Amino acid sequence: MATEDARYRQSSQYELWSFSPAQLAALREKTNSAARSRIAERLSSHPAPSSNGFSVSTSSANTPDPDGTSTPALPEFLTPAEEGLVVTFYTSELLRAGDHADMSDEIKATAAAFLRRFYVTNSIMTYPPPQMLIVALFFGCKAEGSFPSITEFGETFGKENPEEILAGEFLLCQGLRFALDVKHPFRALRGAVMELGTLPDIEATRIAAAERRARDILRFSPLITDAYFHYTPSQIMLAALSLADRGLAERLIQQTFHYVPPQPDGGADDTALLDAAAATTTTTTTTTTTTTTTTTRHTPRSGGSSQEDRAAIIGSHIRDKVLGTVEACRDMLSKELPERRGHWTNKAVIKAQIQPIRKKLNKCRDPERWNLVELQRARREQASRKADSEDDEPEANEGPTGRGGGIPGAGADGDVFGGGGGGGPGKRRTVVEKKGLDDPFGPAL
Amino acid sequence: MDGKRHPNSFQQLEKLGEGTYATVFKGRNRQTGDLVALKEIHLDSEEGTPSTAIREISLMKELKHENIVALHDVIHTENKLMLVFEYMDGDLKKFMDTQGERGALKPVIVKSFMYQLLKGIAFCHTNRVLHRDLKPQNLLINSKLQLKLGDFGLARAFGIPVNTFSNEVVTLWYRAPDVLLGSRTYNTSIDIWSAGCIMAEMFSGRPLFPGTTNEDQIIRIFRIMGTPTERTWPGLSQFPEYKTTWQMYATQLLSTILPQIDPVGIDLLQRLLQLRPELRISAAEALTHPWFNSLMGSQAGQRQHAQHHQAQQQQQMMHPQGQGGYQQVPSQGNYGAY
Repeated sequence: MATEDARYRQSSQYELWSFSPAQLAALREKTNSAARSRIAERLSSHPAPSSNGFSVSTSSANTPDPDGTSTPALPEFLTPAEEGLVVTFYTSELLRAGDHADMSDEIKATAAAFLRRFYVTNSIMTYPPPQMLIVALFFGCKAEGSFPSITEFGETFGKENPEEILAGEFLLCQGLRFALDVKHPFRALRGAVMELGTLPDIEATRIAAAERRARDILRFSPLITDAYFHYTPSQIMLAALSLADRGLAERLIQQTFHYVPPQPDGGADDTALLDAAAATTTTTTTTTTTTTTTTTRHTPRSGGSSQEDRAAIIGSHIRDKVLGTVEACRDMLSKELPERRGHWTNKAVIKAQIQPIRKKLNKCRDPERWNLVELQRARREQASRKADSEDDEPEANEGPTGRGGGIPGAGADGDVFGGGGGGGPGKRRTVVEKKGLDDPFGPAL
Repeated sequence: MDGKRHPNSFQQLEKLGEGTYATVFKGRNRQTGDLVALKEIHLDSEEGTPSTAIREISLMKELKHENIVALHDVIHTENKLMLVFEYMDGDLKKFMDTQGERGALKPVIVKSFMYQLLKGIAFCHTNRVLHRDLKPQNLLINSKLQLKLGDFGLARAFGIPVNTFSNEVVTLWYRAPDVLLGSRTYNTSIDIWSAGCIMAEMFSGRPLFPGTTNEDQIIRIFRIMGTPTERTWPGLSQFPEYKTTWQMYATQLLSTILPQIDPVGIDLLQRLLQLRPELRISAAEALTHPWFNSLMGSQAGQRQHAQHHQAQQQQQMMHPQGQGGYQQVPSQGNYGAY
């Protein structure tokens, strides 16, 4: 039985963009420290960016220089926690911008996922979040199959210059590792509602109320938290439903994981049990509700008798596991319920929490990356210079050569996913040997 | 698959095809020596990454199946977007032209190809993807006689409400009658109609409904399948392209038109080529049709079968007779089907 769950485990969302909390924290840590050392290097080898009126005078003794060579002129850098806070703030801004432009739930959700994914491996000290959120919205529209004209789109957000959006689109694409298909919980919610509708003893008004609330939660809570990185769409849906009406969510789970295997607890079935962290719910004649509950990383297993399959998919012993996962997700969502929308636009909150970080950010941002348009122009020039020199190259010439000499700073960034245990579950194909700065987009993810 | 590879990682060989949206080259991975197909997408600096490319990348990153051409890598630089696909020797159109008897393929080959085609379609459909542009030029064949669906530039994911699709999609000859009649709520069944047309063409060597215009296409279909009426197709008169002036044709027997197909095969074809979309068989059901019984005592039967024929076929495929040959002829207006 090819379950919805098995299919989910083949998705790029699972393969490339699902992490355990520890993995995710490690990635962000790595991104942050790579950005620090890169920016430190650039700030000390270039004159301070005077254009924005800030001088780099505030040194901070408590910021350890990763290289050990402390330069007195270095600013204080953002911590991973501060970066996280700012990304969350800008995710809220993104959702508001999407509302402003009357975008669909799917577009807003995809754009939010894009923005958060991008900043897992890119620091906000490197690329400016206010611009990137507009880029994420633009690209979110495209990824969801709606193709607004760049000019009109720019006008909606007061961007006269579409170049800025397009320059960022390229960066975003790279940062997303070309995983453009984001799986959302909205469809699962519709399935769950239809499923509940078939139960004779539940009032339609109760279901409708729960659906409204759950949908409102899905529009905000999982998008502004790390839920998409840790949980499957169905788990997120169940958690939202549980927040809306715990009884209904539990009923749905009970209903689904009902299968009692003929030989209860044979003992030899430990692997099946472990594997059954992956579980899928019901398929009725009307609709399919999927409840993928994969929390742990494991290789997909196929085969086995259909009885084992059934037990592993809808067995009653899976229920507790599912309940536990949903509960954990519920906890995460409950920290950012829709009522918190107001929190992120509250002037006092912004003044107290966001402004100080912004101030720091003004001093520690990457002088060579912050301006997306200029960055792209520099890279384009470099690329075409490269293309010219390529014409003379004999075909057998192994690898690129002409790069890296030109524009400083257009070169490689730190390798966040690399280095063996980097934690990303992404599969690495044959790795092409890198030579110094020959790849301006950084090494393989 | 991370966009970090440099275009120079691949040696560019001859051009396989060209279209408005992309140029496809044969390429070689400099490190492994493996052949690949490089689909170079023309970047429009005005609007950024083109919609077709985004659709294709987005879908192909998710669709991993033995009967769907694999996207190995995406290479994105400032000026270039290149999709790296697994290499296939040619497409079904060229295969029929070069390997067929006046275009017609041997029944065993047709059966194997149909099975693989339906498997690829079924996989798309369970992943909620419509291909929307199935035609022989978009079905890629390799020397192991594997068939894979390619060119997902027009494909799209479908959700629950499917009523906003443009009706300007499938290439005319393989276009389903409901689409021709202006339906905008079409679904997976449009790919099934195309599969039926392709099955007939593989047997006969000629397109079943080679229409020239939308209207002509409809008439050609009716001439064989019979002109439907509100009685045989409730709701027919509601279609935007419904005409009261259609000539009334009687339904012809497919077995008369396609005498080369055995009765069981005709039964399958009949189920694929239903005028009313809701009556068309699904890809998953079609795979269990008795016509395929001879193909697979087991699941592996189909593969064995393919290998069985591989030896004799490969000889010809690797040395195509005549000029141009099966591998190199770029087909008009498409890009080597990638």
